[in-house]
Amino acid sequence: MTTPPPLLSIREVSKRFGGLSAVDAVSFEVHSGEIVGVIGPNGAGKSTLFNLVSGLAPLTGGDVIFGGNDMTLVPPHERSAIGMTRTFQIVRLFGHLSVIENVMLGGHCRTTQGFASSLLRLPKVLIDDRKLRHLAMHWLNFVGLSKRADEPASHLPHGQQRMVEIARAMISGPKLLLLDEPAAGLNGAETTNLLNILRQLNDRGLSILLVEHDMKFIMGICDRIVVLDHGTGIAQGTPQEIRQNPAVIEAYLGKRNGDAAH
Amino acid sequence: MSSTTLRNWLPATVILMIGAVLPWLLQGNFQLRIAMLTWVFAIFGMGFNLLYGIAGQLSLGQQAFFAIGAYTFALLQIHFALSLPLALLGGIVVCAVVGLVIGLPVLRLRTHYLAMATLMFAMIVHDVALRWTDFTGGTSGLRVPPPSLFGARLERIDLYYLVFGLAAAAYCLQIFIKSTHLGRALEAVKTDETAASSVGIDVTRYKVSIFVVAAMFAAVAGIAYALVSRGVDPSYSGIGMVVNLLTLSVVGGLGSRIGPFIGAAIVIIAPQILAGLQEYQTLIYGVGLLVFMIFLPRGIGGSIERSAEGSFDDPKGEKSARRISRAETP
Repeated sequence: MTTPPPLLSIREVSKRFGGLSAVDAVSFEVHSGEIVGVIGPNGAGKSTLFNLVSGLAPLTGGDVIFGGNDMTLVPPHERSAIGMTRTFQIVRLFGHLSVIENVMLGGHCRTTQGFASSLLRLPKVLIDDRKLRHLAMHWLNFVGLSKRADEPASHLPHGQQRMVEIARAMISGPKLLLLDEPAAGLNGAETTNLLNILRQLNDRGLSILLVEHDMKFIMGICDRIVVLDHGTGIAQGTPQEIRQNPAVIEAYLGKRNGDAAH
Repeated sequence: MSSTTLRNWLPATVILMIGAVLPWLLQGNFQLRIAMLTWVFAIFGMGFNLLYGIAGQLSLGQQAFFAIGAYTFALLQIHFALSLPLALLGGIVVCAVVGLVIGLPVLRLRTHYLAMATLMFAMIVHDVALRWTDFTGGTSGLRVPPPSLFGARLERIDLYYLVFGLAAAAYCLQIFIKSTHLGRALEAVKTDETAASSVGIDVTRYKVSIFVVAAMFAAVAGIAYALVSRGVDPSYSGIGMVVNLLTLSVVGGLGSRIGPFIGAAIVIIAPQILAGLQEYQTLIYGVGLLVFMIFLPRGIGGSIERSAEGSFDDPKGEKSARRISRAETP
């Protein structure tokens, strides 16, 4: 039996800011249907790696291959159309637009038409808009926010804004969802809700790559974990393996007879 | 859905009715001219409203497109004897092309850098209009031939309906852009360019497109102004023009659908009323503008729409009672 090629493969990815190496030759893969977590102490390069994968920052070296596409050649705004969307560490909704309009914007790549062609195909544009609104309602229903569809997004509490962001990402029909610290700022109930939603999405075949600080969260949901420290990958494995990995324990807690223990 | 439709077309119906009956209510050519100028500035304001109010791109150079449209319109008629519709089209196309050429490099800049760059562009256009005397007629400008359409000479009242028709068409285009995915995408670009590109919006393309659209609105306004004034001169690209544009946008309300109409009416009519006050005119005008910015930051149009939207969407007044909370990230 041959294994199918990975959905996302990150090969020797590096990012240098002048003399500082923020990410140094990190390699790992995400297979279809997997949930992979990236962890590491503060300043380990997690967020930088994430921006490299989602295209917000250019690579200094290495390759990001997604579904057979060389992602270094794909500008950020074309990524959602080929099945890769992301959320942000600090929720980035369009605050004065309504909740449903925010979600509809996530489906922008489906109705992507310029000004002139939109004017010439007015009926089609209006029909597409209605379909998109319908689909947006479906995803709002899924995250449990259909009742707040017409409110300005900025009126929602943080935890619900996070859910809107996930609905906005899901409406484009991604194969891979990139989540940058999705549990940040959520309370216990909201975190549990988020876990349930992510599990449901994963059951439907969605692959997820996430960066997270919350250990309980990441250990509870990930199939595999990649550990970064000082910009390099120091370990990969199942949550069980990671928990017992001496290099990981050292990175988080310091050496037994070192000076950095706390 | 129905409230959105109502929101778009109720003001349109009101404006259409006012526009249609206005000539019967007004006395003499002077008042008709004032009415026409109101429509002209409403068109100009709608373009700026799309560019700045919705897409958040502050240009202080829209008067350049106003002038380029008007000069092109006059020159095409004078040198090539083009008919009115063709010269109108020519003026719009030239402005669209100039808008594209200027917009591509300039829209890499944001906020006040963009405002500065567009202002510089307009100053160059203004200098050309003033100094290239052989081509532009210098300070005295160019005369526009008496307007005629399909061989028939246009009377003053015909001209009114032509200008009003252009304003109505501009309103429809504005509503179309505002209420479809185009408007949503532009709002997203205004709010957060990074997030906008991550949901699949080609930010540069949208910024350049709306810049070109606003240039075309300015061209139509400039051409209509030239028709009403029977000529074009360098004041079209002058600083007074952009001051008028900013004033009407602030007073009418940025991002508001009806704001440009209300703002234009005030910018055109207020100086007529204040004319009797002579040197105090500017003072009162300036104080009035300040009061608007402090007490009505949404402008008249924005404030009306806001209170109306409350009653459309929320007949039971739930919205005001709703808790506005936002948990802080630890």
